[in-house]
Amino acid sequence: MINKKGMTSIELLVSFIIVSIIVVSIFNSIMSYRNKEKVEEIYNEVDSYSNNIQKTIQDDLIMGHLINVNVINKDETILTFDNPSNYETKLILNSKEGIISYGKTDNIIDYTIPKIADLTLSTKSKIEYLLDKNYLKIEIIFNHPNFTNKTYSFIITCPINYIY
Amino acid sequence: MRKTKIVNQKGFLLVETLIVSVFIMGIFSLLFTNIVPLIGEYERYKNYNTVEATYIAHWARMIALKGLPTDIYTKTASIGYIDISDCNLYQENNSSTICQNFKDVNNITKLYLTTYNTVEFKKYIKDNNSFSRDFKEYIDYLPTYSKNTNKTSSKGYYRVIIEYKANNTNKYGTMEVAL
Repeated sequence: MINKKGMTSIELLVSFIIVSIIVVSIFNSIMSYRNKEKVEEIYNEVDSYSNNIQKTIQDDLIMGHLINVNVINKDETILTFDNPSNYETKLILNSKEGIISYGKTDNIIDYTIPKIADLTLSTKSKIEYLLDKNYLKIEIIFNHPNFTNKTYSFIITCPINYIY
Repeated sequence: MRKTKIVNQKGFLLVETLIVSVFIMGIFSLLFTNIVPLIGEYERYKNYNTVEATYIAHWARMIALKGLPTDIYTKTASIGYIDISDCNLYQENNSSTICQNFKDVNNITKLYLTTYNTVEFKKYIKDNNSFSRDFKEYIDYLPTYSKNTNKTSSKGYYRVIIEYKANNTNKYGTMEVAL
């Protein structure tokens, strides 16, 4: 008596071919999404770091009431505030070491950029005192080969001696 | 001698194979068309209401509070929105120069004062073809804030909406304004 259970080899072959076609057609999409996921992880870490830096500096700029900016060079500046009383803070952008340092002059804290391969703090990051506009502008730029245009940047701006 | 043909009943019919293939392709197309637009939306939303945008909107609020005369707020309450990017509107406390400096330093391209509830503004933007797609999409994304009935123009609540350019990308932020 012939056993009618099981599959014929042609059925197996056809099923295998159909599954292979589906897998190959979506393989490229899946690989590109995996790469995207890795890039997004980098963006998330850099976003988190940037948000922390912005909040730290902006808290002083807004609540401390910025009254003076003493730009030592494009990477170093001293900010003077008068609320609740006069105090100074120092901001240093160290592109070589990948560190942004900020804090009151006797308590400067180093904020090291995330330890991600190929992520650097750009030498184009700068601190500017726009004399004609009476504005402080801090531009911080990160470089990484996977970023759009290979850069990620944000700005921190504040009018100087703005009367509330 | 009569030859009888024995039909082999194993294997698939071509019709069965085609039906299954069409069914699987249909499911994949459905998944694809529902999931791929979400990725595009995420890419757009990355530029909305970032920390940077929120702090810039904070300064827009400060300058609006200090520089705009009361009649601008009255007008906004009746129409629902006003374009306040023209620094000549900032007549109080010599704020015209401060406004211009703020716009230049932050690359502000649009600045609107609206009622706290953005329903009228959303209607205006939706029907108006003079605005860019990016801006329309941001305004469409914003909630109406209509559920909070404690915050109305009569109680002195408004909203600033900003658009600014950074790294050749338009970014957006909004901030509540309380008189």
